[in-house]
Amino acid sequence: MSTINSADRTTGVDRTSGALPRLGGSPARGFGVHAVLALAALLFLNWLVVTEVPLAIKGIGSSYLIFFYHFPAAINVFVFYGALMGASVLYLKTKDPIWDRRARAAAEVGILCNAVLLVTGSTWAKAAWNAWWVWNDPRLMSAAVMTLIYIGYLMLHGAIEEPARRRQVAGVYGSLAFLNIPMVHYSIKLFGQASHPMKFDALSDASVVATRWYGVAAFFVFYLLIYRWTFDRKSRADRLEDSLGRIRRIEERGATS
Amino acid sequence: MTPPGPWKSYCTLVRWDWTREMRRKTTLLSMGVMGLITLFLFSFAIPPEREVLLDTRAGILWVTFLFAATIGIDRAFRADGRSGMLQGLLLAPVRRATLFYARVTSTFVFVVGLQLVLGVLFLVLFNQSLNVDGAITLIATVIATDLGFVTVGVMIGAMTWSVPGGDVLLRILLFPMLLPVFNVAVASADRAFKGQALSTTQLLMLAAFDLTFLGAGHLLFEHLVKDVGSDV
Repeated sequence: MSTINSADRTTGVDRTSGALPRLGGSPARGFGVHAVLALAALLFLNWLVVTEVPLAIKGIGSSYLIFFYHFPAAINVFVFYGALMGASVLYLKTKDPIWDRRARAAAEVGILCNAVLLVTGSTWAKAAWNAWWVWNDPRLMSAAVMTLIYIGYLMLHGAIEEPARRRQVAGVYGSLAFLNIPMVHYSIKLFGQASHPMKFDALSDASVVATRWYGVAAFFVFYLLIYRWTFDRKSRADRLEDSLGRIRRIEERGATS
Repeated sequence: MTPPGPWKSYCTLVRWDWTREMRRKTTLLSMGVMGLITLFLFSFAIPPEREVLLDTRAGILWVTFLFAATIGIDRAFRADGRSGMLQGLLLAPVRRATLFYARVTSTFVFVVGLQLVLGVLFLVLFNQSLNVDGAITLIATVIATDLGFVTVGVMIGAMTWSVPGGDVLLRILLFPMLLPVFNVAVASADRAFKGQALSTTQLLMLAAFDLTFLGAGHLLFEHLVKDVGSDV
């Protein structure tokens, strides 16, 4: 297998085979252990949901069980979008491309959490209020708008060709986007008519609270696994792009001399 | 020769933008015509009954404002960037933050001016009226909303001007970012049509948005124009 480590330092091309660094390849160190841990954590969450919490509560029946998958997505959305903002600021400060790759990977995992949040939220809304979508609910709307804002981040990143400017611009947008989240939420909360179930007594039972926070931790391990995989792919893709750029520059120099 | 101070540079840049636009008038004309077309489209899309308009007039007004003003925001950097004028500006001994504030000010003046004209046209075409309290509320809402709108717009305009098809991307990035102010602006315009004063909560929300993004623009704008020229 040819990797960038065994390749020519100037061009990134493998000296023996002449091949460019591959997009695939062996996973990052400890990835397998992480995957097993994530799977075990999620299986244990399912076991807790089946054995430790009431299977139905007054008012909303068993549909509330989706809450144990919905709530972790809600918390992890903020974790990964927060990480995106942190990585964006660090890129602007250090100009190290690794922070841009971290920001992009965090954006993709954040959007995944956001999609899980919307699908589980919408499913719960159908069961609880007999409607898939409620336009004036602040949480549902905030989640939808956040998705659009961060899809915009990926579109912006993909639209600019020159790598340094692309990273710079994405860094600024990544920082701006996170500032907007509390304002989106409060503007809808203050000027919409909330219908999201804010409080159910049964949800404050000790076993339910413990299970839902365990769910946050278990899903964090799972989403972190996806983040690592995404980051690894982006690192390889960026190295490939760098190598191609260097080869093009060498060819241009050869053509002019 | 010593370079001019920030205030002098700021005034010169705003005056320069103003003079150029007053000579060409292309942006103002495009914004005005777009606003008018949007109003006409609404007249076909929504039944003109008075009861329906009572619920929808604030939304119609702000969607029209948004569509028209986005044209001005898009041109804030695209024309200068494409013609090489932006690169020339960046060579001048002017602070990046000064350039940012000047561009926000000139775009803000054009957008507010245009929206006041469109607002009057809306009242005439849709047979609506405003009392004094309502008019003050609407003008205050337009000013407070547009400051945040233009600030975010100028930042996103500086991100997308060099991208092929960047005008579409600008709208895709800008509209979701503007949702908090748009939501407040519609609620506030509704109060204006009912003859009520601007609520403190609404004003605070708009001020929080404006100040947050003005501060962010002050800190981040220089990163957006640092490598300008390398991808033109």
